This record gives sequence, structure tokens and C-alpha cells, in this order.
Amino acid sequence: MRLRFVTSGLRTTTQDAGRPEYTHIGVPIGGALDKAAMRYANSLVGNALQTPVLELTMTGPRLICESAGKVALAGAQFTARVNNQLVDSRQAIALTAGDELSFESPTTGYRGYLAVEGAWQVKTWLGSASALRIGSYELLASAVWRAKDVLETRSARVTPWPAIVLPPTPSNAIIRAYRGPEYDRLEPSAVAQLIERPISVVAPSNRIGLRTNTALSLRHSAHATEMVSSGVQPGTVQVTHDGQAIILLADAQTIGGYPRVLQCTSRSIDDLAQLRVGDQFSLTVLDYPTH
Amino acid sequence: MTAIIRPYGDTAALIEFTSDDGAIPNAMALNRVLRAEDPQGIVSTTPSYDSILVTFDTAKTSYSKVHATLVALLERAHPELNASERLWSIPTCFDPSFALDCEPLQRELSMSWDSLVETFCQSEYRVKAIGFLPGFPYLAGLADTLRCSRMKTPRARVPASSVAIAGDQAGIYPLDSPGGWRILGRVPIPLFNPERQMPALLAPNDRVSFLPIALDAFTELGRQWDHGDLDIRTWIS
Repeated sequence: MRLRFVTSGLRTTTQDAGRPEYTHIGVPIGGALDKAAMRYANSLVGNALQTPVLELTMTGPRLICESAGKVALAGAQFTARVNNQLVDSRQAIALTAGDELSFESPTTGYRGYLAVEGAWQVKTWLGSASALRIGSYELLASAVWRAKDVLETRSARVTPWPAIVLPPTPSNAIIRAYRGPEYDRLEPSAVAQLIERPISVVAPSNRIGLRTNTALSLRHSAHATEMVSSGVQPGTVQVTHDGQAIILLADAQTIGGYPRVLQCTSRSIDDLAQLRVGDQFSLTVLDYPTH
Repeated sequence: MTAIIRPYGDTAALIEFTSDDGAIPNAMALNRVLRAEDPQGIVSTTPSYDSILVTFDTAKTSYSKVHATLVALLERAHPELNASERLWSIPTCFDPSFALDCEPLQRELSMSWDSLVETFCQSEYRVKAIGFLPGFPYLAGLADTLRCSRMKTPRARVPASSVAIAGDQAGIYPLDSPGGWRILGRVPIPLFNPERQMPALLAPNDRVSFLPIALDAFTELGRQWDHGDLDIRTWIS
């Protein structure tokens, strides 16, 4: 199918599973922040689950269908309209040439995922179609959509047994996490402030990380005042020198020098994608299974 | 070697080496075997100084299997093999037009520019980690006499390919970016080039030395690079 962008929305990018294999040379993993939503949207249009999707941020694009096909939306609850008529965006939407698809900003959540039926004809870099911004660089500029751009997909080989994916059930008010490598650096007062109590997302927050309204006390390390940089992951809760907890997301750098006090579960990382500045959530700590 | 292996979330293990002087060589040696063996289900390995972060795919393996694999690989990780890692000789121009901290560095280190450059180029460096930016190498091996402070206020824009020092480390900025390290020269080619199949010039554990070149040689190498005529494999021995 073919879709032409009339407007781009706030920031609409191509995202997929990202580039997890290049962290040793400092390339952030990237990819869809809410991967459960990406997989679910793809399942609704019959795509392989890791097919790229459009990641919509707060304000969606306006699209004209130039050749027919199905699309489906998951993640944040954007209201979708076809030719100005409300449509049920929780199932596949069949579009024919000339249809106009538009979105209203979501009432809950922050990022929407639009799957488009077929094999995407887009550029990839290091095995992924995902946009990645480092400072002022767009490392895959064509993955950032602008007015007049055209997204084209070709019919893909039909999966004989389409994947059945249950709709995600976001619980972004409760984020589950395991203890991180430097959990013991948290003073008891910091544990009390960080865990099981509501904390808020504050600006600036973006695909690199979520900042929080926290001021946590840390124990000084037994070994040195400055930590040697070590690997970090999406979902790592770091505490900066001024005591602010930052939760890293997909576009974060690959190593860091701040204490890693918690590591969110894979499932909760998807939920973090839907938090906006001002939203509240609480962190709950799980025990590692015994091995 | 003394290593602690523990889970770090539900899809990763962190290996930390603890012996005081051997920690980094041991980590580098394990990273070397890990990349060579590429065990089933391991998605990424991120070495950084004395630790390695290993992530895995829970559909293909489990934490306990990864743990067992790491224990087995530790037996075969011999730090003496690190000596055979590739050695780069990177042409670098130390002309004052690139050395943004030429004056302050001479003042802080009480050294003439010529002896500062000579000292810098005499050392062999080792890539201890790549991070901060894609392709940014953290280089250990800086001479004690070149230890220097960071800028109090970082620059808003350090030009790409700038060679820099701070504390007891050296580095090369792969992209234009803000930065507080002291700038003493520039490399004639990009350290990170998205168009290349392996976009970063350097890899963890590589050995690096800097070869001083004049401004006209810098310009000529840059021109050759732009025309695709520069074979950087000749920089490796």
C-alpha cells in the first residue's frame, strides 16, 4: 500500500526492534519504545511482528492513502478518523485510494504505533529501519517523516499461521523493577522515596530517558568517589550526582558512570513509553528468581 | 581471575572483575572470547573498563545457561592474548588551528607545545570502552605528565575528529558534540561513519598510537578519504 504524509505530526518516526548488536561501539539500541504495542499493531494487519511501524508522538500525522491496504493502531489511545468519520482504531482499518486518515491526540498514553500492511520499502542502517537522533544528528534521516513523504509497502508473503498476539494491558502507574548493580548505594531514605511511592515524570524527558522529581541520598562507594563507567540498558534507573533518578529508554547511551540502582522489567519498559511529563507512577521491586 | 557474575534485570548479566591491577585486562580477555564464540542466545556484549554487560534473548536461553557459559569461557580468557590486538597508527594533525586548547594546556602542564605533542605521540593507548557517543573511544595510557583538568564549562561544540585529553585518559570525538575535554589535535577522517558496514573506526581493546602530521598532509589525507582513495587498513599493524 502507499501512504502520503499531508502533515507529519509532532514527531513521527519509523521504529522496529532496533540495533541491539552494536552497543560495543556505542550505538544506542533504539527501536520502538513500546515494543508490545508494535507487535500487537503488526499482528492486526497480518505482518511479521518485528515489521517496522510508525511511532506517533502525542500529535499524529495526517495521511492520504494512495493505494489500498490495512493499517492498525496500538499503544496510546489516539482517536482515528477516516475521511473525518470516527473509526474503531482497536482493529485493522481498511483504507482505499483517496481515503484520508487523521488522528486526535490521545487521552491517555503518549506514543502510538501504526502498523502498515506489507513489507516496508524503507532504508535501513545497521540492520534496522529505526530513526536515531544523537544530539543534532539524525543517523537515519529518512526514518523521520515529513509532509509530502510517501511510505510504500509491497505485499509480503502471507504468514500461513498469523501470530496471535493479545492486546497489551498497560499498567503504567506501576513499574516493576529488579535491583540494579548499585542498589546498595541507596540510603534507606532514598529507598523510601523511590520505591512504592508515587513519583512524577519531569522535563526534559524524551526517548533517551525519563527524568523524575526525586532528590535521593546515596551512600558513598566503598571503593572510589567516582564510578568507573559500565554498561547500561534501557530501563536502567540511574541516580545522578544531584540525586535525581533518571530512567533510561531505548536511545540512551550504552555505558554510564552513575549508580544503576534498579532495572525495570522488559514488560515495564514498554509501559514507560506511555508516560508523559507530569504523569505519576510508582516503582515496585521484585526479587530475582533463585537460580 | 576474580569475577563476579550477577543478573542485571530479566535479560542481562553483568560480569565485574575485581583484582586491582588485572581487572581491565581480564575483562578485555573475556570480551575477546565472548565475541569469538558468540554463544547461542547472547544478543549483545558491552565491555567497559573492568566490566562486561551481556544481554540475552529469553526465547533462546536463560540466565542460568548464560551464567554457566560465562563461567566456562572465563577458564579460556587469557589476558596475555590482549597483546595481539590490532595496533592503529592514526595520522593526527596538532596544528594550533585544530588544537583549541593549545595555550591553556601549555600553561597548565608547563610544557612547550612541541614537547607536549611529542610526549603524547610516544605513548601506546588502549581502547577501554566505546561510549558517550557512537564510536567515542576511551583511551588509557596517557603519560602522567599530561594529566590535565577538564574545562570548567564544557564547549557547546567540539568539532568531529578532535583528539582530546582529560584526567588520565585520551579520546577522539566521533561527531560534533558538546564536550569538556582538552582539544589538542584532529584526525583527518571521521571516527564514526554511518555509511560504513562497521561504522566505528575503533573497537574495544584496540591498541592506538598517534602519528603527528603537518597541515598539508592532513588536507591531502582528508581529500583522499573524500574521494574513496584512502585505504585505512594500512594504518593497522
